[in-house]
Amino acid sequence: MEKVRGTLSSMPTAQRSALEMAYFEGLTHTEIAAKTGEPLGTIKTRIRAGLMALRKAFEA
Amino acid sequence: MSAHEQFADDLAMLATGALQGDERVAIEKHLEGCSSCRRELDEMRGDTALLALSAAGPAPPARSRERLLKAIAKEPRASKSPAPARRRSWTLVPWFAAAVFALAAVFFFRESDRLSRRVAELQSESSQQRLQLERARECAASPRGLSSSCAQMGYLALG
Repeated sequence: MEKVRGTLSSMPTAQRSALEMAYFEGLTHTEIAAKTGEPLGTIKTRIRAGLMALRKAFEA
Repeated sequence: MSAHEQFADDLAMLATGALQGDERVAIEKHLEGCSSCRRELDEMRGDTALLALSAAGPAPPARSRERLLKAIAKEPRASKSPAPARRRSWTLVPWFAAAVFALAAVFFFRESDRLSRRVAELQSESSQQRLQLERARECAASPRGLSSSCAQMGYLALG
């Protein structure tokens, strides 16, 4: 739990918030893009990068 | 990483539940025939599950705390009745200790009474014996057969 929190807090803020909006708020990628005013591709990349960061933290 | 790099973003969004509409239909169709992407999706779902461990999600509504406190406040009797039962067993401890001390006090008082009586007995015995010894010495120093009391004493002393 501490590790997850640590990983999340070390992530870029935009990456973390994209992940949280998708997972906790149940927003779709288009909704997140509309909310943040950023291109869809950026949101997609952020969500994936966030997941990969979590995976990496738990593989190490 | 996935063999199908072009699907990786979509898989990540599918895992977090962010993918809807046509894109979702398309990736699900692809997944039916692609085991490596299915495996990757499973892994990403595992990564996503880690998110649940963080409490970084939305805080519980303020009302839930209120409701909980109200529910607790509503049960004063339920919480009061078991508490004295537990407290009673604890309050018994000093009473028990007091009882033990009282019994010990009675015992020691009797014992000291008994011993002081024994001491008095022994003292009177020893003073009697000292008296007899003195008389015996007097008799031994004085001429023989002086009195019947001396003969009696001598007899007592010998006996």
